[in-house]
Order: sequence, then C-alpha cells, then structure tokens
Amino acid sequence: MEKRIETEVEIRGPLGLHARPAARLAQALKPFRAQVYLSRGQRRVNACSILDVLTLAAPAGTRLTVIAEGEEAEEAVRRLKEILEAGA
Amino acid sequence: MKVLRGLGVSAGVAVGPAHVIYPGHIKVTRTRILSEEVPAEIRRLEEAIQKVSRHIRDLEAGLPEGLGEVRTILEAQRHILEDPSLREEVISLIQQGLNAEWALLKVLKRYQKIFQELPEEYFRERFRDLEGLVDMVILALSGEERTRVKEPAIVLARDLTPADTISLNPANTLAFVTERGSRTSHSAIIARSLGIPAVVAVKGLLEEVSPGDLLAVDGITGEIILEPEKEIVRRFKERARRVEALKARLHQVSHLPAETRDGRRLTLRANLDLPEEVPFVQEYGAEGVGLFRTEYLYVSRRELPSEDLLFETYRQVVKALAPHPVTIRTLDLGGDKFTSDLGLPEEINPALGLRAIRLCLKEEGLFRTQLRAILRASAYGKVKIMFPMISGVTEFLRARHLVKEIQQELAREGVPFDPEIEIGAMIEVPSAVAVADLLAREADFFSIGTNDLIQYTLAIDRGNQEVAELYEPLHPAVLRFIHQTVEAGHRAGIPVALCGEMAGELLYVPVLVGMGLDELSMTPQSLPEIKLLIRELSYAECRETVQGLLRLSCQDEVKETLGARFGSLIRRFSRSLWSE
Repeated sequence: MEKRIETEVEIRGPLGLHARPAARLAQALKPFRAQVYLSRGQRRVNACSILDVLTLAAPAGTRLTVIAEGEEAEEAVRRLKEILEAGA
Repeated sequence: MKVLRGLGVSAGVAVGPAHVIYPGHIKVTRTRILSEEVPAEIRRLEEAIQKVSRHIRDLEAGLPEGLGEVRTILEAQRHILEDPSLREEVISLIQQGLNAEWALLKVLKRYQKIFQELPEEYFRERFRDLEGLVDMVILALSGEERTRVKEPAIVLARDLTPADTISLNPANTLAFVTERGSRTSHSAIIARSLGIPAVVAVKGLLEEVSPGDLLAVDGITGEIILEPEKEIVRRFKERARRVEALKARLHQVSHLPAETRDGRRLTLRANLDLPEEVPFVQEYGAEGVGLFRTEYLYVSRRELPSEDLLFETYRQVVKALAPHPVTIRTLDLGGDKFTSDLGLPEEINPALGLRAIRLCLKEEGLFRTQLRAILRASAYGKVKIMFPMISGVTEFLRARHLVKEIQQELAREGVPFDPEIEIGAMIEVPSAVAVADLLAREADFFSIGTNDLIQYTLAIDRGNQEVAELYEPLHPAVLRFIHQTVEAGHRAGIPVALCGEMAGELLYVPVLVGMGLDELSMTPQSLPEIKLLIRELSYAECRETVQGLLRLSCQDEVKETLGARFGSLIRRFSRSLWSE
C-alpha cells in the first residue's frame, strides 16, 4: 500500500498564503516524488501549482489540511511546513 | 502644445516619441487538431511557454542588485507561467483536438471564474497576471512580435499589467504613462525600482495622443506635455541629464547636510508608499520619512487590513530607518475608495466630502485599528503621527484624544509604545491656515501638504483640464498661507515641514528656504539635487527675497521677480551638476 500522510498546517506571515510563499512552495516541492495537496474546506489543490494554491485565498491564521502521497511524502511535508509556517 | 495631467508616481523626466500599446489581443481562431498532429501542437505550446519564460529570466538577470520587490513580482510571473496544473490542463485539451491557443483561452476562462469569486482583492488581482501571461504566450504562438519598442520611446497604454511591464525593454523605455493605475499599481512599483519616470491616471490619454507624437513627461508633477515647444524640450532634456549625473555621484552627496552657505540647516526627508521602498530612502540620504502614505493596504484588498498586518508593515519601516523618524500620515482616503466593507454612499464631490480625518473620526473603529498599529510600531524606533485634512482645532483635539486613549489602553495591556510620540497636523485646508496659531498650541508639529493646500485655496481640480493651468504654486494666496503657517508654528515653538511636489522643484527651493521651513519631504530621487541647491543658497538672501515676494500682487510678478533673483543661479547650478 502506498504511503499517505495527512496533517494540518497554519499559515503564518501577515499577508497570508500569497504569491511569494506559493511560488516558493512550488519551487521547493518540485524535486520530491510525492504528490502533495492542500485543502481548505471543500477545495483541494495541487500544492505545486501556484495558481491553484492562490485560489485557496488563505489569509494568515488559516489552517489548511496537507495530504502527501507516495515516496518521500514525509520529506515533502516537512519542507512544506518549513515554508508555510515561516511566514513570508 | 497641450498639457495633460496625471499622478506622477516615479520621479524623473523624459522627452521622446510616444509608443502606444493599444488594448486588443491577437485574434484567436479555433482549429481542429488531428490526433497525428497532437505531439507537434504540444511542442508548439511548450516552445512558446519557454520563449516567454526565457524573456522573463533575461529581465531578472538584467535587474540591478537589491530590487527585491521587482524580483519577486517577476519570479511569481514565471512560476505562474510554468505552473504544472495549467500546463496539464492545456495539454489535455490539445489531446482532445483543440489548438493550443484555443485551449489556453479555455483554461483561462475557467480560472477567471474561480478567481472572480475570491474574497480578497489581492487574490482576485492575480488573475490579471495570468491573463497577461496567456496573452504573451498566444503572441509567441502566433510567431509575431508585439510591436516592440525598438527606439527609445515613451510607452503609453490604458493600463500595464505586470506582464506588459516586463515585456518592455527597459533600455528603450524612457517613461511609462497610463490612463489607469495608482501610486501602488505594480507598474508604478516596477517603474520606481527601475528608475524609469512614470505617470498614471491620465484621463483621456489615448484619445489625445497618437503614436509618434513628441511628448515631455514629468514623473514628479505628473505633467505630460504634448508636442512641447523647443524651450521646454531643452529644459526637460537638461533635467534628465542632471538626474543622470546626480545618480552617478550619489555616494558623494548623500551624507552631506542640507545647510545653506550661512549655516541654516534644514532637514530633508523622503515620501514613502511601500516598505519595499525603504532602501531608496537610505540610498538617497534622507533623514527619515516625512510622509509615509498608508493607503495601500486599504485599497489593495477587499477586507480592511487587520491591526497585526498594519503593525507588521509599519514596524518593518520604523525599525529599518531607526533612529531617523518615520512620520506616518493616518489614512487619507475618501469613502469612494472603499468597497463593500463600510458601505458608504457615493458622493458628488469627493474632494469636499467624507475623506481623510473626517472619515476616520466617523468610522472610529477603522481609525482605532490604525492608531493602535502605529502606536505599537512606535516602540521599535522613532514614529511621528500626522492627521491629514485637519480643518480646525476641534477635529485635531478629537483625533489626539483618541491617540491618548489608545496609549492608556496599550499601557493597561502591557504593550510597549512610545509615550512621547509627536502628534502633528497637516495643513492643507485653508481654514487650518486661518487658525494655525490656535492649532500650533495643540500640535507638536505642522506639515504643509502643498498639493491639496493649493487645490483647496485656489479651488482648482488639477485633473480637470479646463482649469488645470490655473493651478499655480506661486499664487500670492498660496505664498501667504505658507508664510502664515510657518510664522504661527514658530511663534508657538513647533517645527514646520512641507511635503508635496513643491518641495522637489528647484525654482521653489529659495522660496521655501526663505519662508523658514524646517523640513522638506519629497520623492527620494529628488533629494540630492535639492540638497545641493540648498547648499548654494544664502538663508539671509532667500529670506529677503521672500519678504519682497509677499508684497507682490500678481503671480506673474512673483515668477518674474523670483526668476530675476535666482534664475541664473539655478541655471548655473543645474549646469554644474552635469558638466562636472
């Protein structure tokens, strides 16, 4: 069975999940083999897609669900948390 | 010769032919792609995306060091362009038999629907980035080049998206002029960072100007002169050379004090719109910020900004510039600038309506949030507060009282702030000048906002072409008002500053020095030359000249007398800047 991680992340930084962290996220997740998704309410998007991530329109303080599937899922989630919890 | 006026958002001047970017896209038709043609069509798409992406990379590589904000804008554009979801979706449509162009538009439309419904302006606006990028890819697919700016020219457009802005060749772009936009649109930010003069919000621009028309553009005053006379062209070119020459020797100038030959020391500060522009304040040698405009965070989003967001933004600026002071102007907006949140009625005459301090006192919750953020930031350096559009003592006292109340509140909560924070009144409404002596007893400082003071004193809307030429900073009424304000301030022992375009104009400098102003605040890029000129002047002579000017009855006489007294000195001075 394939590896699957589900966890939560809180968006820090005064501007929320805006273009800069979204771009950094897309860049950082590229090398990992895992598929990483972010979801807010009903919407679930590919964390590597800056456009889709922007459509979450997540202000500071929002809690998003992170889902990672496949190889290197743990590493990918760790990297994602580093970026989103650092704020930008 | 005709003069159009807009909002000068990036300092500098330029003269050159107009290059007009008309709105309107490449016509896209739908063609059927047969299954054997699909791989070639996908390759065509990939190549077009790569071409645009390469273009953006080239631009990034050409950026000078330290332009963080622009670099971020460019990077984000590139990431959007290379977005895997976008690409997958377009490719899957091509596989279903659509041509690349049509597939792109279809995907664009789908994103439009999603973005339109987002709750915040910031996120909704990102759709325009995507739209601009898709346009560029479609253009690349067509094999055509956008009519590139091949010769140095002044670029005109209804509006410039970041994608448009970056598709220009900076070396050939003498200036930007747009019909829409504001001080904080992306194109204005990029223009300021690249040091390209820019004017936005010019009504009727594309109707008045045809491609190839000769234009003279002033990025400080916001003046666009159509088919300028030879004399004006000469003056503008001279100024452009001066600006260039000064930029080259900035490091020799920025640390010098702004002191007249006979030892009168003025303080020169910078006007600031965004925290990202703090490096300019430092680079151009300003002693802090004399006018920090705080409107951006209110107009760039649908929801009102939170106290924490405001606090973080102010703190960043205050900390970076400490120990120099940052003078924060509280919100200077009209009700017309807000969307749904406040639900204010539309006004027939917004300039005389519910704006600035009036709006803040009426919408106290809004004001309290901003004041709390400012006071919290005051613990991290030196902050001064000033209230815009003060029309009398009652208003000032109410606003000041709120500050005191919030200080007590913060003290109770144990949140640090500066209890000695200076609170000033902006003098920009004639009634405030009339009671300046009374206001001076209450305020810690005055700051004269000349743009509005002139508009209200002469009852002239500069945006209205029918009367714009009557806008005259040297009108005897304006001179008297500045004089009265300075006298009232000094009698009460408080400093008087001036912020506004008047502070950045060489010819006015002797007048402002002679009036006895203590501080001038202006676009950072204007600082070096104004400072060098102050160092050439004698305070005693300026003072004497001003006494004479105040006795004249017509503005033409004022101009003549001023020209006769200082014209040759200023000409000699400005020649010396670029001939050294």
